[in-house]
Amino acid sequence: MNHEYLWSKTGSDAEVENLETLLAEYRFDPNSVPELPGTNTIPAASTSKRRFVLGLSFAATAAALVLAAIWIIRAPITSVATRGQKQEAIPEIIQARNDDRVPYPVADREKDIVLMAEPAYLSRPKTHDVRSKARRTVQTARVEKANLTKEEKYAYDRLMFALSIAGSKLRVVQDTIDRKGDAGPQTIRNEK
Amino acid sequence: MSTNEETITPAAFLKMPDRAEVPKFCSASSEQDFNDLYRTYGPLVHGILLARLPRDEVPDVLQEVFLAAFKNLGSLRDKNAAGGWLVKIAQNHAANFYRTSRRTEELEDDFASRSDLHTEAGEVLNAIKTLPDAYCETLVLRLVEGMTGEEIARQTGRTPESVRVNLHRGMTMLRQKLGIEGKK
Repeated sequence: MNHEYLWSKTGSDAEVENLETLLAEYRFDPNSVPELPGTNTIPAASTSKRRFVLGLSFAATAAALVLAAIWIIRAPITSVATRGQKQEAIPEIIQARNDDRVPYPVADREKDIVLMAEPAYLSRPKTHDVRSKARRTVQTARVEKANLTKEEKYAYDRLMFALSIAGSKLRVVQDTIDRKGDAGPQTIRNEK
Repeated sequence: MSTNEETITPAAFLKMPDRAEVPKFCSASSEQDFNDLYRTYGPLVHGILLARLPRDEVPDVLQEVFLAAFKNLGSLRDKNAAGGWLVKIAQNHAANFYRTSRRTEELEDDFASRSDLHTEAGEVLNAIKTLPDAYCETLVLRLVEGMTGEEIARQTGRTPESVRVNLHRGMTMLRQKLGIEGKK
């Protein structure tokens, strides 16, 4: 076998040449060029239709964007207005409730809103207010004690002394009762 | 050099020197460009398909390959890779043929007496197709399409050494298949 002929067709090799001749019938035919699909023969109608669809979709997209922008811009204003309407509605409801209880003198509108913003059932006194009020009462009593006469002072002291004795006696009784309750019946019998 | 801004037709691209890089094809490719592409790389693609497909299917798939290549020619940037690129497209189309095709045909009445099934050429071609793909493709390109080893190496993008080895090993195996070993 001539290797050079197999590689570069130089020289001769009868066997390879015979195979070439045999297989030549399957060889590529350069004249059988396939017909190229009409890439440049697009009908004008389809082009215009495609353009129309494209333009339509573009317009629809633009319109949707404009609507979305308007909605976004107007949304906060609408919500503020709604909140204001709710705030105005609250006093009217409270007024209706208060009207059922007591006659309410209607002043100008702003005063009504301020007054009815905190109705009576919502302004309950707090615990710290009660305590401070009691403290003020005790201080007032001390101030008043300083203004007593001698007899009144004596009577006041005796009363306080008697109250302290009574209090101590009551405390002893209470302690005894408590001890008997804890010890049980056996302890009570022994004590007797 | 402002080659990146230039456009070029596929026909001009094929006539450029081997080392040239093509920046961009012009969008309006003509029928003449397609014909040039077909005539230049037709034997290569035909040989690849003939090595892989039934002979009757080759013309249709060949046309599909070139239409796909022509459609996507703008994505090819390097002329030196054009052959390998076409070979790959052809191999993919051949694989798709077997993957998707469920074609069935009724046998004709004179099927048994058709001469091409029993010709010597048909037997040789069938013997070549039984060889491994690398040997089969190289031998078909050499014996059927009449390309030299250098042309095969240049168009497929393979090295000349590997093409030479494939040719000689394939030829040796073909001799054994055809039972012509010893004839010189």
